[in-house]
Amino acid sequence: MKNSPEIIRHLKKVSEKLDKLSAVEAKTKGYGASSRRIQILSELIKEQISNENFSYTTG
Amino acid sequence: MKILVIQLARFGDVYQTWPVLSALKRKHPDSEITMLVRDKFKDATYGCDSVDKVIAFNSKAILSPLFFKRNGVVDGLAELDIFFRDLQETYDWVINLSFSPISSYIVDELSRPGLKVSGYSRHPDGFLNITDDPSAYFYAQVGVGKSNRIHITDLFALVAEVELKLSDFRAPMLSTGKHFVEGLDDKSSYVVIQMGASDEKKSFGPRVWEEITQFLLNYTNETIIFTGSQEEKKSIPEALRQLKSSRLLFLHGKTKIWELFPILKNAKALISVDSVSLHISALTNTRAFNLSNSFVNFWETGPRTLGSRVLLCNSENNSFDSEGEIVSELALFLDNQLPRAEHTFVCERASGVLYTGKTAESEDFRWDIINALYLSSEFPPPISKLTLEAFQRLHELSILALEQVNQIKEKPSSVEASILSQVDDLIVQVSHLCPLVQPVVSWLRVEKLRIGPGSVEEIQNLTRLCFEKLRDISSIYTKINGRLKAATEEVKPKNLPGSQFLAGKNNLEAGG
Repeated sequence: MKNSPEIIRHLKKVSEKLDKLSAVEAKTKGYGASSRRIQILSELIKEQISNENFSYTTG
Repeated sequence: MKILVIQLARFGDVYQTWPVLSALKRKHPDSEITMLVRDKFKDATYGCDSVDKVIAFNSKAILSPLFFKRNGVVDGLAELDIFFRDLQETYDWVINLSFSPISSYIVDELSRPGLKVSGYSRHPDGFLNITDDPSAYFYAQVGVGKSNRIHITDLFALVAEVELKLSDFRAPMLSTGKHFVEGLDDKSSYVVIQMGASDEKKSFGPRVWEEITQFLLNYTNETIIFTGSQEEKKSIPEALRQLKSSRLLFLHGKTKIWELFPILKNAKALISVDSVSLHISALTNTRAFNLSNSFVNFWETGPRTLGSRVLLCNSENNSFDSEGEIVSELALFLDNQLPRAEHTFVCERASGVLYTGKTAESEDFRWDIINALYLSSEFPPPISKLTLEAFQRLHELSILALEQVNQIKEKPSSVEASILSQVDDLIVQVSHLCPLVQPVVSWLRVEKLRIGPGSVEEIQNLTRLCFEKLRDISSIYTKINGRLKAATEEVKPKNLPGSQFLAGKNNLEAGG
């Protein structure tokens, strides 16, 4: 089932927000539990945007 | 020993992991194996007797707050906390068979001193950490458009450090199958067709399925069972719906996924695209006739039962030139006669490269390059002037990179860093201009990626090693003038980073 264009737009906004949050987190606290969780959320959103459940070969 | 196996891909990938779980349990009989799968795909673990516990990663629950709540990120993070709290157990070994960023962060969350990790993880600075050679091979050479010819189940086995036996490919003892299907009795003989796949690009248009069905109705006495999800029901071709034959049974949405085991176990054959049924057929030992296209790499995810066949369509338009070609090959398959079509591949081996068939010279070259990189076999002779030129450019770029690396004293200056960055870009450009050298470029990229955080000197030494190997490999082709073999012997890389692990593939035990 593909996500609707409205949902995709919403997800892209959330994704941008998470990317900013991740950058702030990395700058202020460095990589740790908190940034790890933000990254997971961010990747889950990206999967939704691309309608994928996994992505081989991407780090 | 407590082992956590992470498989966060789809139904088919979970089923392709089953033999590895069986081999793990056989090798470590006292171990407790936990499997982490997506909640959406956890039904694919039902009946797997090698797994002691299944944990579901419920991405829907984690993402829901982000869809519906204003402060969704905070709530989403809280959901993740709950997931990690449930996952917190002291594992001795985490085997990550997902090859995805998410899985690498999950592994990192579980990391502690003494934990053995196989598969993707994260370095302390958050960068991807590819801990083992098989996973590095996966990153570099596996996927659609690449030239790997080792089946994904065998690659999973390499990551999990197990050798597969035929007995690892087995179906659960659930029921006799025919009772699942209304209209079948114990004497019924049938073939199964699955038309749909997780991605519609992997399948073919209605004409293909209409022709196959008509052919089977005329050529055989078999009942024809169509399997698929409720969602796939919509894509049943209208012409098939109109056929009034008691020999056609449509089971779309009527079976649980594990009920496919007994249904396929008793089937005469399966006809399918790259689907969940195809991956289950490897466990039920059912011969499959697999229709494939360029959106799939059949070498990696094709059928595994001996005698199965893959019919590859025209790669230029991703369709078959004629439906007649399909049904004539299908007839040969059903009658156990040799294939005639140029693009039919036969599953003749239980491990290593499974299929035999006619392949393009360029594809063979790329596969031979992979063999040379990872098995230290001889590098193949060039097949075009462009190949020689591409290797010449790679050689020049490796020398330029080595000059920069050797100039670095305490830390790289902006000039050296800039040149090295441009060398990386140019190397990628070379592979775009000459895709025949792509396996080498992918190998280099991954080996450089594997250089973790460290002192300038450590990073400098490891980077130097990577470019020295590139120089050695490319020099085989720059010294080509009539003495390729001698040149190969002279500079054949003996200890290539990431090499040798595939060597065991030639000796995999296939008996069971």
